[in-house]
Amino acid sequence: MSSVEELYDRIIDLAIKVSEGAIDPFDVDVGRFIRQLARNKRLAELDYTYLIKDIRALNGLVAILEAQGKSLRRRGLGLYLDKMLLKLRIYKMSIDELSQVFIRSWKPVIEMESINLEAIKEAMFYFNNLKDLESRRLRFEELSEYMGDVEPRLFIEPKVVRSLMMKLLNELRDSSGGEYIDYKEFITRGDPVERAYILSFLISDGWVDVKVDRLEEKIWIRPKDMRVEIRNPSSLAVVVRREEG
Amino acid sequence: MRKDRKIKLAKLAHLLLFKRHRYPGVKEWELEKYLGRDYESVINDFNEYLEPLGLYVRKVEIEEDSNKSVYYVVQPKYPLSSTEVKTFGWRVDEMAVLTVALAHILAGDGKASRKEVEETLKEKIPEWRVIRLIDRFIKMKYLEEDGEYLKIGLRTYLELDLKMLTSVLIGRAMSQEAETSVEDSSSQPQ
Repeated sequence: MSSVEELYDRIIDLAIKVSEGAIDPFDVDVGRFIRQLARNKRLAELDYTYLIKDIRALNGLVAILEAQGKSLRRRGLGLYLDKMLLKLRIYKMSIDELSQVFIRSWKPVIEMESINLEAIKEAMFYFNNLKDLESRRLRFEELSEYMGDVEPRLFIEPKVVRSLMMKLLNELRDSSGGEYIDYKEFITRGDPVERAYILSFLISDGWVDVKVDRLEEKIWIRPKDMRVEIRNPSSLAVVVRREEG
Repeated sequence: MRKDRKIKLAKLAHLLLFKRHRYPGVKEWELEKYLGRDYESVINDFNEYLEPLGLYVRKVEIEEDSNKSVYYVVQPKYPLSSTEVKTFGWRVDEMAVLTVALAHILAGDGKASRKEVEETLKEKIPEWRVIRLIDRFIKMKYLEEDGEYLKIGLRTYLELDLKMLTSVLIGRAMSQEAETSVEDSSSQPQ
């Protein structure tokens, strides 16, 4: 490894460590590194990979400078605590002493929790329309009887799943016109278990939007124009039951 | 007092005293929206009612990544006693966990590794309780989770005097070190 490459790697590594809080940003002599970088060959003569490293190193130095600026501002506000001193302090102080530090600096915000007539009405409406727990619970016998239908469907090849997903997405796009449609109505257009299963991939992959109306116990789905990456995924349990009669 | 002024005062009291969002307090733009541009004069009038109750409306400016947000909250005018705080439902170990987490964040220039905070706390408080309390403080917005790191949450900026917290931690360190050095020197042979 050449000395220039070493220099780049060292700067990049230092910038990562500063961002992780592993080292104090003031332990890095930014000026010295900038001078060393400036001594290198002219940028135009650098190899493509070196050029990228040069940009990353310079970006790293900017990040370290930013961390130094932030640290200075904190120190100026009197919010600086030395790490070693802090560890020693925490080690020496009892739980009670630590709680006293909190009490001396705490002023709680006054906020009262309240409920209004509208909210009470809505809650009553919800409760009155809620089916009893017993009828909402899937009985074990029903489940074991139903599992016979479900099990074989779980072994669909990934390639097949992909093509089924695209087919279902196109169907949803055509029939919904980009608007929300009833989930139950959509999955019951064919084999509900298979359609619900394939649709769950489309939802998890960010192709389909889901809206849940808990009051009316209805689920709405809408196709998206483009795939959207879901940053905070949450689970939604859907019970598919055999129609009686 | 004019009728419209009375209405504005009542509106301000409702905005400030009742919990409405997940975050505490009222944002500046909300006051401007509901009370008009002279909201500061309404706050001044409201403060006169709060004064005998030992409360006041505090303006808090929070600067994050070059964005400045202004919040208004109602708080006690004077520091609370430890007996009072305990009756608010806070346990001693809960306060200690939050203090240690905040101290780590301040020492780490605004963020601290959650793992490191937990390691420190585990020495004095059971691990399961530490994890549960940190999760709770994140939910309450005293702390903010950023990947593997912890940052100061909005509620901390609004409720805690971080300068006081820092100075109490350092100040006590100094006095304790002085005590230790006196003890050390007295234990040495003359």
